[in-house]
Amino acid sequence: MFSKDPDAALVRRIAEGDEVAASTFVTRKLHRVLALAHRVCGDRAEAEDIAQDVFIRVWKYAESWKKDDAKVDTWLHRIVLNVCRDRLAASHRRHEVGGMELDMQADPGPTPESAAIGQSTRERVRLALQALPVRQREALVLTYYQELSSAEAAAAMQVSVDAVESLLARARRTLKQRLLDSTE
Amino acid sequence: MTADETKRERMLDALLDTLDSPEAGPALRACVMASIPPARPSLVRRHPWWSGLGLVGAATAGAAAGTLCMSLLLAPLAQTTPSPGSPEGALSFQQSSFVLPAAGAQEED
Repeated sequence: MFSKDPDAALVRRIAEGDEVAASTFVTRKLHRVLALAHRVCGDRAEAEDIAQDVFIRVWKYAESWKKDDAKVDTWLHRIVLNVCRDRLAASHRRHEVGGMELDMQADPGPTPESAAIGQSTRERVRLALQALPVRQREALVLTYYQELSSAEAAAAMQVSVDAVESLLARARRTLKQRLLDSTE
Repeated sequence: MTADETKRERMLDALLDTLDSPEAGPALRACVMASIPPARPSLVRRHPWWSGLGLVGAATAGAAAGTLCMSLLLAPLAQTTPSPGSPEGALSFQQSSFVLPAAGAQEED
């Protein structure tokens, strides 16, 4: 299984303290990590912080990966999701403490004012994606943008394949309602 | 799936495709690169137990050096052991030829 994984040897070398392997890993994975973090958390600066945290965890836990029964990419996606969840939970707590309840389930939707000033399609999609429940958003981002199979996404999210497919179907249904029905 | 549903699915995909991801800038790359831990010496990297062995070796060397120092320090003291017949020797469980002066006897100056 690992012999087919192009990153397996790289992670083994990282675990042995090989700086060149670590540098190659950053070159190979940074964009993918940043893209996932950005789409899940919705903020560029936050995504950059997440990317840094992710690589620190990779250096720290590279040795334990050998015992894990997952491809490097799946393992890496799992780390990104865990860091994103930690950050989102912390952000949620901060908003609650500050008296500004942040409802991740709520749909901000395009207000008449924002429509009037000509909000771009990209922004509408970004807002609709951010308004999805976290699990649905993760399932969509992993399968659509990161191009993982349902099985790989399930492994990264640590849920069953059926659960991923259900989350994905609900996410797409919600997005269609929010993005297509509002324009029709 | 109906034709209408297929069309809606394609429209959603088209909308999702508009959402691009940011490029990793050189500053971020530099930060991540800076977080790479420094390489460990190859001997320790390949045989992690060597570091433990080194610790044991250092401890043994320290103990040997300590013993040597103590023996060097104590050697002069050993040489000042009271000789037979000296008053200090009377305190030890040794046969002594020291004879207490008789009562009333005058000491010679």
